[in-house]
Amino acid sequence: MISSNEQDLITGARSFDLDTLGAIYDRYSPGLFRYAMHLLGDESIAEDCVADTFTRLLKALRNNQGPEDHLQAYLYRIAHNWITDSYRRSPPTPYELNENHRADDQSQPEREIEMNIRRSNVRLALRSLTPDQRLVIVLRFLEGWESSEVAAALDKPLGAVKALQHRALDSLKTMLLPDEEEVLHE
Amino acid sequence: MDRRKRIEPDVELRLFILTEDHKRDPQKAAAGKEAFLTNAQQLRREMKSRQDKRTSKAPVNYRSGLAKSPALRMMLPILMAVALVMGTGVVTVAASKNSQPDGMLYGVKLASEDMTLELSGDSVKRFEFASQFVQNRSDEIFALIEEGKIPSDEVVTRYQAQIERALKMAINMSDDEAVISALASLQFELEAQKNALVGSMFVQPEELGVVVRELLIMVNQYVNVCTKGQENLAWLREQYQPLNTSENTVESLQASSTPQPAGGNNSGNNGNPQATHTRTPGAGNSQGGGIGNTKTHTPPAWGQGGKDTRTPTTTPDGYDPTATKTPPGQGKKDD
Repeated sequence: MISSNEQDLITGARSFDLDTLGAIYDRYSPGLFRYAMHLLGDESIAEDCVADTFTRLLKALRNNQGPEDHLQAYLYRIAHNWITDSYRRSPPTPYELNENHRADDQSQPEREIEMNIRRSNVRLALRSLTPDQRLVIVLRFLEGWESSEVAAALDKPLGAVKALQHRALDSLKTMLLPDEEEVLHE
Repeated sequence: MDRRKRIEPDVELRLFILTEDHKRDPQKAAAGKEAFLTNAQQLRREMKSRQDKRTSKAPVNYRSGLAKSPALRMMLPILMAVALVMGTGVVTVAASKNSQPDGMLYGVKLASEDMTLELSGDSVKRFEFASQFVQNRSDEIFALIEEGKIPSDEVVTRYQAQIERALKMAINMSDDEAVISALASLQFELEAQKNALVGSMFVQPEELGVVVRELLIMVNQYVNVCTKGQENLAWLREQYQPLNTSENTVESLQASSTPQPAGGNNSGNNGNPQATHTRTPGAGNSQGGGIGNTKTHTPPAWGQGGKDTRTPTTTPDGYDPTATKTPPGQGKKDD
């Protein structure tokens, strides 16, 4: 039986115990996938992000690096860096209509398109935050983490995380609230 | 308590739109876990083999050897003088570590890498350095990609030559277990580089994207060589004749840094001298059975063959890099 304690998981991972590593994957990969999907919105890229996150963990463990504690925070930090790099590599793609949006009996294509445009706008807004601000917002408000947990993921003091959150919310308000209806109806 | 209540309600409403249930394909999740555990297993094997080697070797006292050699004792003052002069050289070498192919100190960086390889007598250590230098070449290419610059033929062939050199050093290991372990390690590194290339497949400008996709095909073929080599060492040894010591040196890398002449395998485009600098993904590298069908080794992918399609195609081993992701704007779903 694998211990659910993070410290035990780290100890097992350091000795490359496969059962422990499997347990780590089972425990954290769903959340990492969800996190990547929130920001990337593409299943295939999100899977790449998860795969690379765990590859980097192994590399770090091999080099006697990796987390001393806060394993979950460490993994999210890797994924966060991966996504930031991915943003740098590829420009944002505005939402485009395509032929898949056809009316049928069950779906409401107009509503679906509107939702997709809104999602796209929110992702663009998140993308324009600084990487640290983005991590704070996603972990606090989409993943439901406590500020102290976010501070561990960012390796920053609690006060700094609160300041980041405050500035990020201000920016998001400016970006998301005033013109959204206009953009939607353009 | 619902922590989301603490957020500004209007912004919350808009963020909430992203919190729909992202269903993960269970098959992909299972495949991801399997790949992760396979990597972990390979690494564990590699680390164990390295540990065994360390414990089986008696410690060598280099200082006593130095003191016993009369020739070296006589040369000691000269060596010290040279060391003094080279003190400034050390600073230069350290400064060159992060230099890029177009940097002034890049030559120093390559020379210091070659020197490191030459000075490491142990084959395990030597392979580890060679593997690290593959990573360096890859990092240089990614630095260029991030800046939107197209890596030159020279940069790419140097990367390829470094992979080849690491492969040869893996084969040069003392016993089969060590070779397999080294191949597993190299495969792991190359897979990470391949994954990074997959992430940059559709980078802009398009010409850069084409080069990235060609690189991806090349790296994937070397991943396959490592995989096949672990299963069939005899085949690998046939492809890559073991090195003599001089082949590990600067000359060998410089020689192999020149773009490979065309073909030599099974394609119909063999030996077209006009094609030397033509990048042709996968071409010339067997039209009937992939890397494994050759008697003499020809490096996969880069600069071979004579036809420049500039379109990524399925490689001889059936890998289709375009199948990995949907290009942006082509049926890419937002959710």
